[in-house]
Amino acid sequence: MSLPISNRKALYEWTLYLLVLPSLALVLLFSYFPSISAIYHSFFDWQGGNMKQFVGFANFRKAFGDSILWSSFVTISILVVANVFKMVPSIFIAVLIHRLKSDKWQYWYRVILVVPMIVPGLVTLFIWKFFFDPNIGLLNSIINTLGIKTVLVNFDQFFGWGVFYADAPISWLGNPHLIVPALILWGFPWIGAVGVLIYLAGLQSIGQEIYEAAELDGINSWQTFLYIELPLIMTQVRLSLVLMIIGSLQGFGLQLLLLGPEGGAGGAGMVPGLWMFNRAFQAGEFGYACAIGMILFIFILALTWINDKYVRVEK
Amino acid sequence: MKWEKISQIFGLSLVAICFILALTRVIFREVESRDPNQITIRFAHWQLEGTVPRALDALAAEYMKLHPGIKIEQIRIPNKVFAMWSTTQLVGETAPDLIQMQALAADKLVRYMVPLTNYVYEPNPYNKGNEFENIPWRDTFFDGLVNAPSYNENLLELYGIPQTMHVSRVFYNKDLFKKIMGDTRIPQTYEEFQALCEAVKAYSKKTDTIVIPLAASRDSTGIGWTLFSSQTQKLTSKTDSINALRGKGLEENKIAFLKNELDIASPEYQSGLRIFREVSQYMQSGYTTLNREDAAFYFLQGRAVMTMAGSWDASTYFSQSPFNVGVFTLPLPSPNHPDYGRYVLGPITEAGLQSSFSFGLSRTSAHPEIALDFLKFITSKHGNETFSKIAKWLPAVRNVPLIDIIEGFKPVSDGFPSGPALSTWGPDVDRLINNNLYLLSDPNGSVEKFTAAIKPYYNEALISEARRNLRERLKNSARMDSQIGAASQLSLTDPSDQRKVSMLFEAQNFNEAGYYYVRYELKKLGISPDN
Repeated sequence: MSLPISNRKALYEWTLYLLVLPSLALVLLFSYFPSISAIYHSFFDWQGGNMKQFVGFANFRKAFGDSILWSSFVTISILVVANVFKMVPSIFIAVLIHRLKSDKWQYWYRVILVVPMIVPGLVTLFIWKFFFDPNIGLLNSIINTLGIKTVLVNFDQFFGWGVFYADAPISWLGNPHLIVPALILWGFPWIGAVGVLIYLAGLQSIGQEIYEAAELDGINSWQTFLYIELPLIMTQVRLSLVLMIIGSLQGFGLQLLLLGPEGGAGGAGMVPGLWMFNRAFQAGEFGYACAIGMILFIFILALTWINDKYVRVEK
Repeated sequence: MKWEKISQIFGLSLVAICFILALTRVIFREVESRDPNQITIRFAHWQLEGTVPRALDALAAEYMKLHPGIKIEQIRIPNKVFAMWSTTQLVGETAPDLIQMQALAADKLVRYMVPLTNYVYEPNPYNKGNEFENIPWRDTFFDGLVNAPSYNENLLELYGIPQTMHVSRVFYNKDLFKKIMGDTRIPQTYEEFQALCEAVKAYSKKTDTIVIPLAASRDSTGIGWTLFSSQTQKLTSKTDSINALRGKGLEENKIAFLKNELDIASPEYQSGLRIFREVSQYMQSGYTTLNREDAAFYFLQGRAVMTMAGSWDASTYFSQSPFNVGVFTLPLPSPNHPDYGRYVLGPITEAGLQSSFSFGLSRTSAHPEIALDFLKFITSKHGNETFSKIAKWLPAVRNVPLIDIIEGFKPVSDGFPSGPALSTWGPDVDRLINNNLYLLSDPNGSVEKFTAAIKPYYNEALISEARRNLRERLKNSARMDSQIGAASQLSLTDPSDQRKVSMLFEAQNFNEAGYYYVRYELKKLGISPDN
């Protein structure tokens, strides 16, 4: 904790404030001004130009009756829940790397994980798009080679899903029933380099004496993970959770690239961010898009608050 | 330890070299733009096909040679982000001098672009010495510049000057075609086209290879919609009360739908959807999720015998395919076709083709007169010929000779207008159609399923589009009011402004007439014109 200083001393060090000013001005200009502008424009019928008409809460009223917006929140909720589970492999990989006895190998595994980060995100998305391609994509090739498709077709015929056909390739992104599963599958095996590095940092801060004490108590490997490692990296897990929730709710690049601005077949891949983009750049309803952004902001704030209040870390 | 030190020095040196290189580049660029005698004109577009930027570079180089002291810079923006990029540039008043026009809403045109109407009545000075020397610039173009996006019919103003015109054609893999069909001629009728598709399917099955008849994508559903519009042709004449021999305007068609004069469940529309579904079965599975590049990839890899694309893709296909490529016009069902003939008037004409790849002049241009001069240069007969030759695109200027490679794209002038469409009537209608297109293409889908999914929401989407149109027209009127006021005041002292005032009044009347027409019709139908 920092020591309190007197007001007189604080005022005396005015040059320090002067040095902070440029950074503060840039933060205000590039972070706060756009947000405040979005709040302001959410009360206008605005099409992106300088002409706008004040409409009060009309954009928000419209949003509350917008069935596409609310169904997009359902879709994103499913994806957020799935993303919670998708955090698990990163935790396991972090633990496995942490337990490697050789420092050299630990280093190389970290490098292997970090190297793909230099590949632009867009390229990764394109690779996944190719992966899902119904005709020449890798996923369908694997499914066909392993004979899984026959099983799926049989299930389909039994349950009457109307999704898998014997004489047509599986259209992962072209069938509304398969879009959400495909979006969940995206990123398999779900090992995020940033996540692994965050968890590794947490694991490395666990003292050796704790492991030694546990060993004396005779706990096995799984128990070490469950009772020592996992509880002690919960701060990092919580941080990842907050970042994941914010990222998932705000993001729409994946859906835009894989499915297009209309959310794909049946609009099944429509998420709030994509709907905001659609309204702004497809329909030219910038004011309404700002209102959607405000609603999204409130949701993110609420979820972050819930996370902060109820996801407790007790060590 | 030693290795660690070496790697540290190496890393630091790498960062330092990169920084110095970047700094040098920035400094030199700064020096260049600070040259007080140099004027820089920037133009931006999204045509990244290799031949187009090359053609524009050649024209820019020629212009710079003619006008030392002027620098022309070409800015290439990918298609996917151009709409967002141009909007932000225009709103932020940082747009280049010349910018490729797209379907900019009237309010944006009025606010950000310079009307070029007054300039096109004068001859283009760069046509000196040819047959257009004394002809108004406007009349040197094959369409007289009466089409969007160059001309805005709501504002009665011309905002862009085009470089080309585009037609859609079926591109086919000549080698694969010969392998499958032998010496059979390319399809001349819809039946022959179907026979070809069936033969490709049979070939694929027999040889156990992935070869599909048609490579398609969600961006290139043109083949389906072209066939569709052959089925609604007779509806055009049915609703054409003044025998204008052309399709109705967008707003009139929307109102016709709301009045039930047009109906998705009508036999014509159902037949159109049936033929759309029929041809979809020849496309790759899940094409509704793929985009234009994916379709091109399929075709260029030899996995599809045909693909439908615009003439803008010709240079890409001709230069990048490892096989011989040919083109033909998509054959439509004739009036004698047993299933589809009863709704067909005849072949669809391309006589009303619109010119495209138009450049507009930004209001924020620091040197509008020079930017306009460059625009005149590139759209002169010589400029357009150079462009057409290098870009391998059809010319927009009359009498420009066609090079061999684009001969197959010569527009078909005989025939009848196409019928009213189902989509392309605005973002909400498009979204509704595109989201449900899988019901037309899926093996399990059907015309009935698609109709059932669309019909309950179609009018709602049309109403949303009509309301959007009303809002836009109202804002345009408000903007025009101030322009009319200003122009009227100026005309008191300068009589030459009278013509401008008269044009503004005409545009305002047209805009208001459109506004009251839609408003009146909506009210008559018991629909609130406001949200």
